Amino acid sequence: MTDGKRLHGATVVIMLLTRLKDFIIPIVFVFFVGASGGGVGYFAMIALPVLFIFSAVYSFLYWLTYWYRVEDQELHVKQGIFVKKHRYIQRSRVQSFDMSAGILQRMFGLVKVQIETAGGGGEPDVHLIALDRAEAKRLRQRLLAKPEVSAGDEEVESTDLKERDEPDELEPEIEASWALGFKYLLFAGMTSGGVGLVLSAVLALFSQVDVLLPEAFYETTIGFFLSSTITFLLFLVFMIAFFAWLISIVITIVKYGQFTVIKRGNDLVISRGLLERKQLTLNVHRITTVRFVTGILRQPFGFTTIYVESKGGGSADEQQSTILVPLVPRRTANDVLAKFLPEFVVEDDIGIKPLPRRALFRYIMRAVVPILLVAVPLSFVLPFGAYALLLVLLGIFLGWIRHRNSGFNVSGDYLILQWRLFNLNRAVIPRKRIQAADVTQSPLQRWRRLSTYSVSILASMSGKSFDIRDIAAGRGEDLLAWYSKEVDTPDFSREEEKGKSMI
Amino acid sequence: MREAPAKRLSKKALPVWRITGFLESLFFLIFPVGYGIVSVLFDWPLWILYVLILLWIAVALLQSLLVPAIRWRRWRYEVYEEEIDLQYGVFIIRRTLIPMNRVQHVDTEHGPIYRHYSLAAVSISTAATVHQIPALTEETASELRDQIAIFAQTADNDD
Repeated sequence: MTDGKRLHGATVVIMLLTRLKDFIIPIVFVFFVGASGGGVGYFAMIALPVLFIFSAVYSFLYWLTYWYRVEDQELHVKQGIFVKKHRYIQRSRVQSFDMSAGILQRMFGLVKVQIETAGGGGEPDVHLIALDRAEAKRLRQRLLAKPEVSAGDEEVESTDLKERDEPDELEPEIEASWALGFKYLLFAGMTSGGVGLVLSAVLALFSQVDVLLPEAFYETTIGFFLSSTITFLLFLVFMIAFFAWLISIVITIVKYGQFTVIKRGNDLVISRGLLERKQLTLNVHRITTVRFVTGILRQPFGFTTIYVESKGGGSADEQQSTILVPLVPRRTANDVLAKFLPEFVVEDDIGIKPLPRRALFRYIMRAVVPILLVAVPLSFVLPFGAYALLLVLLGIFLGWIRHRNSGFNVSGDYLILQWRLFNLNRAVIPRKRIQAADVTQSPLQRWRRLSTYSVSILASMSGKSFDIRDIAAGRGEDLLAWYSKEVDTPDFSREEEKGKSMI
Repeated sequence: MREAPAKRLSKKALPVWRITGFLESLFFLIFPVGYGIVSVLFDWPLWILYVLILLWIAVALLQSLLVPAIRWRRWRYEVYEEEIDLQYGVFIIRRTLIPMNRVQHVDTEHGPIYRHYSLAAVSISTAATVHQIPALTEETASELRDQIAIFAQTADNDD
């Protein structure tokens, strides 16, 4: 066998363009400054072509020296222009296989592949910039298939070369699929709560722009604002918010457009995105927790989002989780989940054991104190600042609703935790996925006979923990006993004993 | 839930924690010393300096006497065939359960101060978390480490 395979030749162009994209802002800047004459302009005339040639040569050499090969039980990647780097990745260690196509890849009809293994830092372990789709599928097949199957593949491939061109035939049947309809997609965008994010981005942009705007512009606009009526200003604020909302809808549609999930054997393949197609393959055995998140805007309509925590996968804008189903009516959430992860389905009627009443005050305090810290100084400083104290009412409501919605239950080998910050979260955690469990109690909690229960699970990059605050101390003990192998599973239905000491 | 775990740390943990606690409290000397310098330069009132010194003495006493004593009294552990049970904490009490079949590896560690008192700490790592039992005598620590390693190997994996 030779050194292996190179990436697709278009890698050079894609790399070059990506690198140039990073330089666009300095280039534009240089052109503006350069236009006003002086040495900088000449410097730019020389520097830019040099930069371009350097990038082109670098991209070419990168492509030339990048080899990969699937060996018997591992993926071997060799790269490096000056410093050679060899990397061997055990097939059994591959946690996720992420196939995506950015705009550049799409121009050539190619895909980008990122492979992650357990542990490691924020970077994917292997990043193949451009492969043709068939090759990427073949690679996925060879890396994710069960070892026995692949031994069979090897024979097939050596005897019958035709098989290599039809990798789809080797893939198992699609067992289940789910797609996000356009109506749901639109609704998801309308209720995404991304308005705040867009607004802050717009404001950040404005704060940058104002440096560049001439003074006169300022004076006229501010004069205009001062002379206009309150009604008009309110209308303006409303329009800005409305446009931010529209932008956030567009962002959601671009990100989650054509969202589909399919189950193929033990793999879940999640594809999404209009401009950049992303495809993530997750093994169902690596999923450690299923989480239902009901956004505050979606709750009145009875819609929820299903996230999964898994070893491998996960993206930064989803807090290192992966969205399995972006929007689904809560009534049918379990039916959809049953298609993909039947073992995680816990009937809704199991109910949630509420927190004791004595925890309510602590929940309200936790919501109110941060507001007071801001509102009290404001009420001294600003003329109408005292109105900020009205926010305290909101804090009380938030604390009350958080207390009301939090709780836990166990159903056989599954722990269900429910809590709310703003969005309502309900996590279903299998006992065998919990790495460690603990109960903590602060002096004040000890006085109120309360405790905090938390469990650690594996998530994409490292551990993650879920906790539930201020459950009755006795219940904390029960939950710990439920997790323990040495202690008999307790009877959660018993009434709590008064004054029982904790831990 | 069963009773709190029974095993305690080595008595020698106390002098070690007293030393480290005192060393940590030296950091807070920054405040009285800093204020002392500034008050001479700008002629600021001296009484604040005295208050700061008193506060520092209180912190130093707390850190080097009271906290180590409470911490030692609170620290309990027990290693069962199927799990490890820890309970510790000075103000916030924490009780942790680590099932044997989740243990990925166990280490013993000892820094310079630990070595002087022939102490060691046992670190237990799962895939998601790391837990440490501090200040055990060297023999206890290595026995515990080997014991956990054996239990962890034989623990049935329900994965």
